[in-house]
Amino acid sequence: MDRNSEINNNEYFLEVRDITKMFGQFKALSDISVGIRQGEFVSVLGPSGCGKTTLLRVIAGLEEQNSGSVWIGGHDVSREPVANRHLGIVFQSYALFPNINIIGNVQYGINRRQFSKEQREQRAMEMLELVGIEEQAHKYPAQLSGGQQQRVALARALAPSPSILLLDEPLSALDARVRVYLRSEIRRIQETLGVTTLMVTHDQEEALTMADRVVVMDEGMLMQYATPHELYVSPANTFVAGFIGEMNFINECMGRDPDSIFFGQYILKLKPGRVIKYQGRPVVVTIRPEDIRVIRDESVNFNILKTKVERIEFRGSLYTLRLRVMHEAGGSTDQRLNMDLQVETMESMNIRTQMELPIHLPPERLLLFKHQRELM
Amino acid sequence: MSLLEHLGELFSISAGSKQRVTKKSSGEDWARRLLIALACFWLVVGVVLPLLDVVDRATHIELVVKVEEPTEQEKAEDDFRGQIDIAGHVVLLVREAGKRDVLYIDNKQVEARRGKAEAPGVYVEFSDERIERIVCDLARPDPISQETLPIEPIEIKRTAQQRWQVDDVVMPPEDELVLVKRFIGMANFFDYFGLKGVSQGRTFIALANILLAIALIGFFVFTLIRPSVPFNQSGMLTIAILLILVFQAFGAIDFLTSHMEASGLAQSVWNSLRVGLYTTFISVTLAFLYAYGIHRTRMFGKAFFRIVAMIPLFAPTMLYGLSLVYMFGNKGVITTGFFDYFPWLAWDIHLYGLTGIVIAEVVFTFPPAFMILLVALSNTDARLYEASESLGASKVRTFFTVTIPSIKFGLLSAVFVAFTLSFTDFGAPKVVGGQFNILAVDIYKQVIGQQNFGMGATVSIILLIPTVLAFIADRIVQRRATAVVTARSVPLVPKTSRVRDTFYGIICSLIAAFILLMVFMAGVASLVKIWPYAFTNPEQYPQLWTLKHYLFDDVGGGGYAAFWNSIEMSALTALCGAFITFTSAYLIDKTKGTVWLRRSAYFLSIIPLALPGLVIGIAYIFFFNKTQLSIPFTGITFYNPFNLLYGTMAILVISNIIHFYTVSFLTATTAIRQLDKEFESVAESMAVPFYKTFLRVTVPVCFPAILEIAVFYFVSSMATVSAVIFLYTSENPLASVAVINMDDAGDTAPAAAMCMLIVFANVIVRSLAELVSRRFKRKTQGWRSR
Repeated sequence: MDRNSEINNNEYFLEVRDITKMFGQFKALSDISVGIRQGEFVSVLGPSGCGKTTLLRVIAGLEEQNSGSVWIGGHDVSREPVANRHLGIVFQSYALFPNINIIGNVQYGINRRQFSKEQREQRAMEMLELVGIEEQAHKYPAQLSGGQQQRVALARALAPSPSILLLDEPLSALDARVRVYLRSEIRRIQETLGVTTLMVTHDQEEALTMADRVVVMDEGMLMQYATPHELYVSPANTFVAGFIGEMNFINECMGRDPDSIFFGQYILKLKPGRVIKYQGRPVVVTIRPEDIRVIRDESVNFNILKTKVERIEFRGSLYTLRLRVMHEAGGSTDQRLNMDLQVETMESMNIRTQMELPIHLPPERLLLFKHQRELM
Repeated sequence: MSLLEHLGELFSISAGSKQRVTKKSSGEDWARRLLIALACFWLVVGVVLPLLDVVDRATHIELVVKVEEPTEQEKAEDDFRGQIDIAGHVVLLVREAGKRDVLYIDNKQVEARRGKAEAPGVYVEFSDERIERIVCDLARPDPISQETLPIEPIEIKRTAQQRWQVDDVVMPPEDELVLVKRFIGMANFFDYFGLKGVSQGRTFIALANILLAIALIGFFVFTLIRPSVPFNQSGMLTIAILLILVFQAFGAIDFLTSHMEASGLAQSVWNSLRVGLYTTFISVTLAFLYAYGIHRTRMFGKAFFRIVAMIPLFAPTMLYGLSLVYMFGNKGVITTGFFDYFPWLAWDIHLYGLTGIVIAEVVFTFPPAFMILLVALSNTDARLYEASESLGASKVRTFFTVTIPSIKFGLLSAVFVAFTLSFTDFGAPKVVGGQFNILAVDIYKQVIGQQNFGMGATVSIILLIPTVLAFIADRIVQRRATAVVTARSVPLVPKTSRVRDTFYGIICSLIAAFILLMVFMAGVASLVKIWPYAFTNPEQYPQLWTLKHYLFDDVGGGGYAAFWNSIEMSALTALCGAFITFTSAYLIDKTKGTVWLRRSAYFLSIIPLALPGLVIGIAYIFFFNKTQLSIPFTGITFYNPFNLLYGTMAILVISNIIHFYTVSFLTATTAIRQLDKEFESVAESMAVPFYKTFLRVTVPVCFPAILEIAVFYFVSSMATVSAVIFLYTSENPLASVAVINMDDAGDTAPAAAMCMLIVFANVIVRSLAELVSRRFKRKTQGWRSR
């Protein structure tokens, strides 16, 4: 083992490089490389079976990767057992020891040789206060609610002052209200302590509201690694585009010139130069439901599609219209679009079903992707 | 890197053949691997090696060579010039008057030419008043087939240094006696079945043929039940192959039976099978009715019925034999119509023999069959019944299309268990079997009565075969048993139905009454001073009730010494057994990596279930009595360290732990698997050593299961007789063996008394455990409930 390559001066506190993991013939992780800075909160997001939990377990050392390395604090810990990596882990099932009371659970991982009994208890109480359940200190896990148990698990993981905190779908076993509350609690605690955190979840709202940056994964591959804002506004591929938030896909498009594409008989302009590489090739164009505009005045005369309103859904703070795109000459296409509309606009324009509604797609809001496999 | 880490790299064991970044093994990893290896080792020593010895004994013959040299005094005053006993032949050299050496072989004088003489099977060389060399031929040529199994003759000769050399081994000067082993293949089996006139090779092939046909028939029947198995798709081909094989098998059976002489010994095989089959049929039917009554009706007194069903577990099987003798024996209560007070009651069922054995075994196998079926019936989804009802199916149709299929795995399991237990039991048949020979008693007679260990080993192997087959079949069935209950299943709550509830109430009452009768009849009789005369001739024998039999005066077996010794043995078994079992189960289930080591340990832990107690006992006699161990094919021998255990309490405890190991092990594994899988990961991430988590979390949470296991070991050890009957000594008498000995001697009442003592001890221990368990559950209520 080369001593020199072990120490690596770079900005990342936790890093994985080219991690590949196979279960038999099944490739769970393909060349994943991710770097996390000290004190950052990163979420790993993806559908079931995408490999996010496997990635977390590889980082923890609970699974062995087939190739690639794991670096913590500049050291290669790929071959270190779990105990040497100084991590705190919170599992989906909390795994609280049922026969030990809360404060005992929290104390469990604090080094017995280094700290005296009083010091350990004091530290445990500090942690319990931090997570806000110091009153339950002498109860047992079975007497606590799910949300309370979750916080105990968190306190227990943090008590030994780990350098990294790993959370494996910590909130998925809880109901919606508790989840929303705990999201902000976890983030608050993490910011207070400044501990580098990696959280696995399948709930995108969680990921987007809690994390500094998000790793989006699908089928063992890294789809995009960016801040929530970037993921939403500039998705790197059709998977991320469709997975994050709501998105309209216009599939049957063909590149026309550096600035525009064909959609059936329509011509749509995009941001200048966007189409350079795709002229004459099939492409997919996307637009968010909230970015589609109704036409208020005659000054807009490009990127206009004729549509018919098929269904109107009332969503409380807005309406969603299900539109069917029509040919310019009449007659419907197979393309449908969802459009979000403010309540006032709906009322002022008196929109009803079966109505013909021309819409405008602002060029700067249109995104372009290579024509890939269909998104569900 | 430390040395340990370097070593860890070298010996890193990982599952899977693909490339993998393996973690360094910590000291903790090595400790765990070592412990699992230790578990494997102790199981190999406790199970595999002794079994190999049984096979060894069954296929070898041991012959004695004894040398007697004349002393100086004898040379001066006497004619005696040397005697060698070799393989049953006696070779005697005498100097007769006239300074002549005269040789006697088997007490007949033999003509000698130039110092050489011969008799059938023996060739002797002698000179100068000394025997020089003898070659003894052992081969027994079959007169009909002319085929012989080549057996190497035994040669003993005098070496230049005036020592004796047998085969290639020089006898130490002080030794007079040496045992020689020769491989005889299946000759013992031939003797047992009375097979004559066939070669061993052909017999072996014939047997393989039969086994293959049975296996394939089983497989074929199996595919009929589950048509999705692809093999059955080419139906015609399957049937054609099967027909050919079946014909071959019949031919083989015919060939063998034509050479078989009616041998009283082989009748035992058939008898044991009959016992097994009848018992299984009756026991499983009764257990099913009982379990159905408890789970599927609203009859009264369910708690009572549950308790009664468990009582037979506390008693040795001899108890049922004794109760039956008192009820149906020659002077039994029912046989004599309660001593002619109720002549209409008189009913002689010819107890001694098949009838008595089957009745006793039915009672013995009832509790396990009942438990399995109750669990199977409990694991049903009420929604299936609701669906069936809403679709208009009759009760009968529902029974056959919903109930039976949902319990089929439990039913099969109960069948295998009942068969195995009744096929291999020794206690009850010994008491009530009469002239009805069964395999278990045969083994006992061969070993204890005839001291013929080779034949004892042979019959043990014959006993093993159906047992192992049943075991394998059960394993295959278990593997296919899919979970019937899903997370969305609804438990079944039975509806009231007067007729049905009353019907089952009556049936269960009858069964329960019979069980209680079987258990307590002997108890009542043990209090009667003289049976039956206290009833029939009350004038001459005025005193009816007495505790005299409980004093065990004037009877053999060891009395209270045996009883307390049994208690000690059972307590040790319970403590050591629970510790070893639970720790092994934990290590095997919760250690990561080293998959092959854990799988081997798991497999070894399951094997003891296939071993009848008698086989364990006899295997232990062979293995632990040896003074030398040898590594096969190398001829290296070394002192057998386990020889120290022979004749001690330790070997009794070990044999009991092995005998009851698998059930305990599976109980422990189930309990451990119910814990959250991530406990170990959490502890690992916090660098807490595994044994700390084991002691602080795993053991306390699993305490009820550990207690169950300990009680199971205790109760089983108190009641068992089959393994220990070969291993006890006069310093280590045992209660269950005392029962057998007292019954043999005709002291039936004290035997019954001892049985009752065993039952009482077990009931007390179980009740204590129940109390402890309840207190524990109450104290830990805080963390058990929601």
